[in-house]
Amino acid sequence: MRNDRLGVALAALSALAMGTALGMVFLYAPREVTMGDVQRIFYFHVASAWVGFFAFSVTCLGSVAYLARGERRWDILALSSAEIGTAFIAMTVVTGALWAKPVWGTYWTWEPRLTISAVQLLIYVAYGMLRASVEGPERRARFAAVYGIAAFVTVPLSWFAIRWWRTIHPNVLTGEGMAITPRMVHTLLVSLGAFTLLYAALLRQRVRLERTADRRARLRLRARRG
Amino acid sequence: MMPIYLIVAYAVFVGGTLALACSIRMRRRQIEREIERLEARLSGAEAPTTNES
Repeated sequence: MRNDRLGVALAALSALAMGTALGMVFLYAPREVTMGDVQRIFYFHVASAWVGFFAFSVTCLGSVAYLARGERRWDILALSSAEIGTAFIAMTVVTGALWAKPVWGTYWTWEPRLTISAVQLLIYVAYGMLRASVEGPERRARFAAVYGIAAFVTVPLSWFAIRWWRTIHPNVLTGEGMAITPRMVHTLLVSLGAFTLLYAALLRQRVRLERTADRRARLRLRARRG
Repeated sequence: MMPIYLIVAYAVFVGGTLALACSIRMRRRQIEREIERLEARLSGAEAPTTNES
């Protein structure tokens, strides 16, 4: 993080915000009446899903910008955001299963929201595999951009799955399937803010990693020519 | 007492986030080390020209 004051500030801020969010989850938020303490998974689970959706939206926008302008920085933004989004959606799926076991009596059920989340995770894992398999930086970026735009369809699909189809997944906004008190709302909002800061901090580091890799590629070329 | 599912879930969040952050940092360190090697090689290749003069 040499000479990266913004990166250090973002990392420190996100660590502080995550600590506050954790404190609120365990000390401030009340115990949910029907589910008990296991409901506390919900705060980070929702925040993690939010970061996943937001990250995939950034990937889609970066991909559109790359196709329109052909500038490498948009490709870097798209791929960096996709990697972070994939990690957060993976955490969302795993922690959702951990919440489901004591509440639904099973880790997994093939209901619309869960199925779409699993498919979404696989689609973005495939995005990384696609990038690794295509030869040539420009061709790779173009293919990935088209894929990144097409893959974005899973975001609205996942968001509306609990509204369009019959599902047992709780609806956070309407409070359907879960009683939401003001303290729970405060904790959720702080968790959402903390995860958004964490995303910004990770994205900055991931973008820097890719720029460093580009520098190495230029040096390798010089070394081969020299 | 906190349910085991809750503890495991938060361990997944903390561990997953730390793993991602460390993976980014380690990959960057590795690339930076390779850059240093390449720069040393390139400056070594250019050195005889400067020494001759």
